[in-house]
Amino acid sequence: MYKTDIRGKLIDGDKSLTQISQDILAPIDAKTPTWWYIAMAVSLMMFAWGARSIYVTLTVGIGSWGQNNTVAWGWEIINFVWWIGIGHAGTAFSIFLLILRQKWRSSINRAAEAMTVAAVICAALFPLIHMGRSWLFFWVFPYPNTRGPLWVNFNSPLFWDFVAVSTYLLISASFWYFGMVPDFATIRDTTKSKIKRAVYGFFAFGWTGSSKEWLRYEGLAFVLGGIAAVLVVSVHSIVSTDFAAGIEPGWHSTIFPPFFVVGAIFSGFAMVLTLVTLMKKLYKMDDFITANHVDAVCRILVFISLIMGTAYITEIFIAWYSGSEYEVFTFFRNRITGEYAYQFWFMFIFNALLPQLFWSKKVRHNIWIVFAISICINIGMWLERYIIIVTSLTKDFLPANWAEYHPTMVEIGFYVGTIGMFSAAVLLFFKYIPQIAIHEVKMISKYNTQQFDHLKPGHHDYE
Amino acid sequence: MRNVILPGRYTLLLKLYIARVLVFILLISGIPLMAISSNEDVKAVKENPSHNDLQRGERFFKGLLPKDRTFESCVSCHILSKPDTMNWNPSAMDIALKYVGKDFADFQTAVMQPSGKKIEASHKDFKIEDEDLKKVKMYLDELASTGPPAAGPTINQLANFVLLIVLMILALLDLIFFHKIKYRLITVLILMGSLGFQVKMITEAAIGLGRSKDYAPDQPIKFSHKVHAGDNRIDCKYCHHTAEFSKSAGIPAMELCMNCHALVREGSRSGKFEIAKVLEANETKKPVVWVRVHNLPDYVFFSHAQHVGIAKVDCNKCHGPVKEMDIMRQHSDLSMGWCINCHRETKVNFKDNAYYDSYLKLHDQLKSGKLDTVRAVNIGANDCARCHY
Amino acid sequence: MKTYWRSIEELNNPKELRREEVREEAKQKSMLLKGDQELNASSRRDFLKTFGFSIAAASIIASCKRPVDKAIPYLMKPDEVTPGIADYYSTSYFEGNEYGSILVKVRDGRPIKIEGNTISSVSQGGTSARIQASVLNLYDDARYTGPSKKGNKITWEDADKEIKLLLDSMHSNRDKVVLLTSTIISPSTHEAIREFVEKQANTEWIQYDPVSASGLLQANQVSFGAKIIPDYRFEKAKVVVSFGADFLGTWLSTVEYTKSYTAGRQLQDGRKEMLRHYQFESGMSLSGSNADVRFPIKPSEEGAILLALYNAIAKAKGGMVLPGVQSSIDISDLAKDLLENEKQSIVISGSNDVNIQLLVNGINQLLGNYGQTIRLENPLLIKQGIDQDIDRLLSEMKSGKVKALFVWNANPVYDHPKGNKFGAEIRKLGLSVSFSEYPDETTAACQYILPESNYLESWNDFEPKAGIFSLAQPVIAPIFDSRQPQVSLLKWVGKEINYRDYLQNYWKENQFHQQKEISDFKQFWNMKLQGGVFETQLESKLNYSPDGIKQAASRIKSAGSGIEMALYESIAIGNGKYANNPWLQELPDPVAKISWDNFAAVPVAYAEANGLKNEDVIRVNGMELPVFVQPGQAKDTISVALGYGREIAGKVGDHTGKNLYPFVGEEDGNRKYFISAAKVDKVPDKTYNLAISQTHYSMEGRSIVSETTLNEYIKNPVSGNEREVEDLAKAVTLYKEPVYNGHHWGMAIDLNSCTGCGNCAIACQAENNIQVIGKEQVRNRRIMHWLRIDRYYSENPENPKVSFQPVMCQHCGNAPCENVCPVEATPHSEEGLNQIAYNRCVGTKYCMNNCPYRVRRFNWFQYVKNEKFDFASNSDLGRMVLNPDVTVRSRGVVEKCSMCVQRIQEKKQLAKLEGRPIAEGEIKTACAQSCPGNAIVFGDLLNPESRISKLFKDKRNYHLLEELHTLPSVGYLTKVRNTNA
Repeated sequence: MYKTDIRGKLIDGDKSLTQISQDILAPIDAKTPTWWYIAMAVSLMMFAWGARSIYVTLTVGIGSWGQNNTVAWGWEIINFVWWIGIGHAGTAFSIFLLILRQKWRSSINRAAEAMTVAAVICAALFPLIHMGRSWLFFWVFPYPNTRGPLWVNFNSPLFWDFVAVSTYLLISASFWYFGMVPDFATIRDTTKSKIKRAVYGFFAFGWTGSSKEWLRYEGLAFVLGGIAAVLVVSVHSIVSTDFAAGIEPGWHSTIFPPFFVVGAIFSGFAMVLTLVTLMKKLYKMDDFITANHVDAVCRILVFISLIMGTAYITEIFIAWYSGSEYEVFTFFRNRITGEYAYQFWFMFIFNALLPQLFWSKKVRHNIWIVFAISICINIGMWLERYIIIVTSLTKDFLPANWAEYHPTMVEIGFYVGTIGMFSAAVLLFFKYIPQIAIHEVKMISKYNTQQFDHLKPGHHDYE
Repeated sequence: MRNVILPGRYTLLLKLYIARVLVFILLISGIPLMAISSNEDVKAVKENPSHNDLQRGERFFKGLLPKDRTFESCVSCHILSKPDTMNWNPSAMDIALKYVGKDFADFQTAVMQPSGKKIEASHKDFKIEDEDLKKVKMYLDELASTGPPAAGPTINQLANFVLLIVLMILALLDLIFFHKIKYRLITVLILMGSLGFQVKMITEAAIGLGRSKDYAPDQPIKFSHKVHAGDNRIDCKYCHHTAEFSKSAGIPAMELCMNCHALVREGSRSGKFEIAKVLEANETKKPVVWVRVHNLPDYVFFSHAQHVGIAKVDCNKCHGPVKEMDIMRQHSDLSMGWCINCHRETKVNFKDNAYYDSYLKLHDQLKSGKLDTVRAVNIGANDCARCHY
Repeated sequence: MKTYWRSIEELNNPKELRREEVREEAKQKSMLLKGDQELNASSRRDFLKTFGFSIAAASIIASCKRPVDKAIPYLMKPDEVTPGIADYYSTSYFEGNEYGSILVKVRDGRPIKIEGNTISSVSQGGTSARIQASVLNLYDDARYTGPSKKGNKITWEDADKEIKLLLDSMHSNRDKVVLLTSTIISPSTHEAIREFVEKQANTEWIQYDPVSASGLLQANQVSFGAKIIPDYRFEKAKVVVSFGADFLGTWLSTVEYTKSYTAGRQLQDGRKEMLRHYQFESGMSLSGSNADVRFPIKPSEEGAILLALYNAIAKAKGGMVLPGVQSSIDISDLAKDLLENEKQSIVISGSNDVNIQLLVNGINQLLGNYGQTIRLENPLLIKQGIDQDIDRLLSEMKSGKVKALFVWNANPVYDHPKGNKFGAEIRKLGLSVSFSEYPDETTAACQYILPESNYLESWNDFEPKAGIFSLAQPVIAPIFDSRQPQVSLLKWVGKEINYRDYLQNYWKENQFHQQKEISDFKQFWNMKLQGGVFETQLESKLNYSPDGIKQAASRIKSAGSGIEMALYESIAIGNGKYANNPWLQELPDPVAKISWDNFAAVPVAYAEANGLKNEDVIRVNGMELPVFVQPGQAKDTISVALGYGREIAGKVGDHTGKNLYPFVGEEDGNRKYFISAAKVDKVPDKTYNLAISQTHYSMEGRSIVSETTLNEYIKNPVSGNEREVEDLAKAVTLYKEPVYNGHHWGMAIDLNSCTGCGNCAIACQAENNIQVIGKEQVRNRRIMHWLRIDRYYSENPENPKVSFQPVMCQHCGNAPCENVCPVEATPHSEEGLNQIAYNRCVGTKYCMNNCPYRVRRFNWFQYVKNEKFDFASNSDLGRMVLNPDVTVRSRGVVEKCSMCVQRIQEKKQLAKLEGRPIAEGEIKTACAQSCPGNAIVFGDLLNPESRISKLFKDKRNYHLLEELHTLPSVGYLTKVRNTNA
């Protein structure tokens, strides 16, 4: 059973409940700092470039990208998988820790969930736009029609992809939103602005904070959490079947579902780390997001990184052990050595080796190193998808088809655009939504003090 | 125009509907104004004949003149706008087009000393001064180049749709902020009802995309399948004779029409007027440009030979009661589901056609009783590549 | 109420449009009723034309918004035309020194596809890529729409009047008039020209071939007393030795040679022998890449090697040894092989040097090949130009002796080494007339342009080989205001005649009497017109004489030093006449796999030594050329294709590549297609993009093209194909094997018969409306060809073994592409086809990734009606070539080989209508129909008697990537090499 004694205080500063509300809500009522506007402007510019790229893609055709007959998927699928991966962490973080009753999650989960929603929206754009005829995307959904009826192909991983991603988006967005209801009510009740009261009041759904409501609320959180927990595993498993169900060397592999889920959580946690370090620094949330929080995430990353390294090595071993000449070629002559060796080794170092630095407490407590490593992991995970997609496709079975792939500015623009969209969303989140779940933090703020001892699990146990 | 029919007891909805219609009338009242101004532009371009002449010609045509008229007005038979039902008399536009290139004498002869039985009967009491008849011709010539007067505007689907959206917003605002309506149920019902109608409209529009069931366009000649295939019992394949062996059923060449119409020069319905078009086409060697009624998309390859020649499907099965159609219209929706369902049901004449001898497995199954009949779907009629390639 | 509209004009301003229409209609009607002669004179074929246009326009308009479709029936339906059913007319193709007897598929008045005519003994049902693509020339936007004078339109009457006047004055002044044509093999045209030359005093007719066989003709004049090209019968030969003659690609009668060559090499039905092919050449030609033994040599080495070969054979036969230069290559094995196969060998040379050709004749004579493998009864007539003639024309124009020039199907301004001078001289002439159908450099220099009709719009006859005739008939009325030049020539000398009548009369007087079976001329004519060919047996009176061989031997020069540049015709573009044909421009060179450009092929070792890589730029004698590192390129040589760099050809052909004709040299009055001691240097820091459609050469040790040697094959028929046996033994699957009830369509490709010529790729393109995408997109590896020919090199990069493999959709029984499509756009048919419904495709491209053969193509852009892809499908005229039975794919959908399912459906329907099973060989895919190597066989695998079933049981049969258990319906037959080692 969990014991806070081991972990120590979950938030610093010995704040009163009112103070907690005030501190967390401060950015919403405070004057918006200049850096926010600059960052927002940059994000919007990136977003505009992305919008233009999408426009070009839709009007000119997928030909404006760098794909060809041999490499039919490129950056768009890399980015899709990457964003989906990032979009995992929020929910994974929140839910697994919720289910495991890890109370320290409270300071971070809100940000993580917000990030999830934004990342999944970014991710969903890619498969949508990458279709040759995006305007017919609804054909991927099974709906009764007058064509016979002509159903979708239930064998296709892409169909399940659509199902999984859209469900995941729905569930994670609801999970995030319902988690915010009590906090919206708090803002409604504390703010002086009439407009804010009306708007937040609308979103607060008339929350009064009665114990019945809390009861329902907790129940809902667990139900949604339960569904989402399954989805976290299923979404990336399904995304992985996009590759695992293919016959391309380097794709056709049973390790993919767990490997992808773990990889997704890895990249997501890295992104959480990036975000919370920013929150810590930019909004001075040090009291709520303590060094212990960062420390805990880093420890998890060490663990996942080990799994990643194992997975990489397993893949390589299996390629050799299977004796398939195509697999051997892809792994040994096109990844470890060959044209894509740089990308492979950077991926390996960033994902499997660099996080091992987190064994050292010094590293874990140096916020700058943590930030740098979290960025490296994000790059490494991007490279992982690059390696999987590009190396397998460029050189597969018939050497006559081997072709190179280089992204065009339109593809790069699209990617940058989603980053812009993501950062804009995050910035809006910083500004308009309580960055930390106030009510949850309040629940744990007095956890270690005497009068709350009886709340502690195990308090009544015989020891 | 699609009227939204609502149960009477929801008076509020009814009121709103009336309000919607009023708003819409207001909105569209600008259109005729614009139309009038553009009409004047056209007239300004034309120098002669004078406006007065035209007006006078129009009045004669429409029966406002002469004052002591005892005979039918021209317009009572030769109507100006497109009617919803078949009108066998040549329309004003038809006549206008026919005589636009001819001089007055021809026109006069046709009107005053008609040669056909039918036209003779209706024109026999005609009394009109030559001068006035000239003006009628002027009016008709003008008509030929300006086209028939625009039909009244129809309320289009989009307006309905937008109105429903407005209704929904109003209901929502009321529900959340104003609380003007006492019973919440009403607003909720408005919301759900509007949404329901919108979904219905979208679905119908989506299903109708690219389909045109009951499409019955105007044809250059008022050719009646009822008269030919029904009353006169001409076999479909007499005219559409390539249906049995070609993909296309074929629209008969003009020479084929002339097989009969070399002799048959006056019909029971339109008299000579329509048949004259056939004769003229034959004489001028200028083919008649029909409007296609059954249009399949470019990516659908349908073969009449397969269905008529091989499967011996009756023409009516797809084209409907052609023998009763004065105006040819698209009977079936020609959707993919319609094709596929028929393939699922249709039995194949499996034993009599030696082609199917190569289907050894199916013959075995028939013999062993595993399969009682072979249907089109069993021999791959529903494969994509049967129709899409 | 829906409103339907026909065009943007109608939508925007219906009234004004209506007014216009009414005015126009009324005017036309009154004219028609008054009996206006001009309008009434429209004939059936005229109507066909307009009908074709309207259908095309209707089908093209019907794209996005659904307009009101119109249906225009015939007034008088011609008996032979049924809407929806194609007609086939036999006719003949002869252009650019390439002949083919063909059938033209005409759908609703439009010729849309060319098929080989199987009853011709020359082309035997085969075609070449250029013949296949020629139908597109009919719809070339660049075509002249009517006669013109100095750029201004003129009527035929005025042109005739003016030219006649000038000719008459020249006639009375006895001024010299020259008629310059390409080789003409039409007997009736010969007659027409004879009449013209006879009546117009002091007229000379000169035939001119840009890439000539002048040396060969002259050598045969010496050896046989006649300027002929003998009839090579490769199928009778056991050993074929070619010195630089790309007889499978561009040399003389390639389709015929490919037919007989592959007949001599195929190993189906238990045949155990095949001819052995030696090739001496500098660049890697199509023939060279098919050779069993290939010697990369410098072009100048050829003479010495031939002399050595002659001497070796002569010595063995106890004949006289000729003194001369020494060969650098040991040819004793070759001589031995030839001597072992006396009377069963062929030695040929592509050289234009009389001396070399004399030596070749000498060798063939020594080996006793004449009368056996090399026949003289029906000599080939398709090249008759003598190089000295055209040079004389230039000097006579310079001296002012020639006053008038009529140019017909010749373009010396572009393709003569002294083209610029030609241009300048033509511009000075008092009268210059071009009969060209399309703009070209020579036409641009002429005063009058009197466009000839396309060959598909003309009457004609041909005599490709002596005594072997074929007819050509129009399959469409002239689209533009054009006229056959024969008619013009006859008219100017006072003979007004329709060319069909002239042709008919000519045949009545000449050909009709050469047979006895049919007594009625009308019947004879109709039969021959229907069949297309009329073949007679001739006897040869020619005898070999060894005159001149001694002298020839003494004139053989020793090999030059320094780098030599060899000039050759490329497979696709040939001599450059059809440079404006986008299908041909986009057809990758079979060996280099480059389209849209010519390039300098440099040897691998040279490239390494000089730091050259693909797409670098070198300067050869002042001309900058892009580099392509070509394995097999002989040491110290560079090969560059002729036929590129047209200045005036049309939107597609203008300025693609570089014109190398000015580099063509001259020796003894004949043109020499290589230059010695070329000055080559690298242009630093400059690159040039090449559209390379295959960048990897090696099979990486994978068993992709299975191959063996003849000896191994005889010992063990499975040799080279062990992988298949192993895979079949190990095959396990979780999935149910597909079950087929009625048919299972399959295709077998005999890699031993495939020469890689590319005919199939273009046949497929024409049949299936495959779009041209242009150089940049080909370079981006997005070529649309459904059927590509993979080319692999193995062993020594300086002289590699080459393997060709046509790859199209394999129609896998267990297709990886099928189960990944989210919308079921590509399911499996009950007849074993892997179908794709374009209209269902949403374009996720997943299937493309999951196809191990990478045969799926994506419409990356809108290729039809798009200014950015201004090739064949951007104009109404160009789109008339589209096959109405195949959907034109939109942007964003995947497409691929359908095994010509439209043809399968058509024949199945016919069989059902006639109540009979489908006959063996009745259905032929476009690629199989015209394959000059008979390499592709299509049929029903469920029918145990079918050819395909037999081939699938052949020990050589294997499936590509069998180990993936995709169960392809396409089988490949192992390639067998007849190496003597």
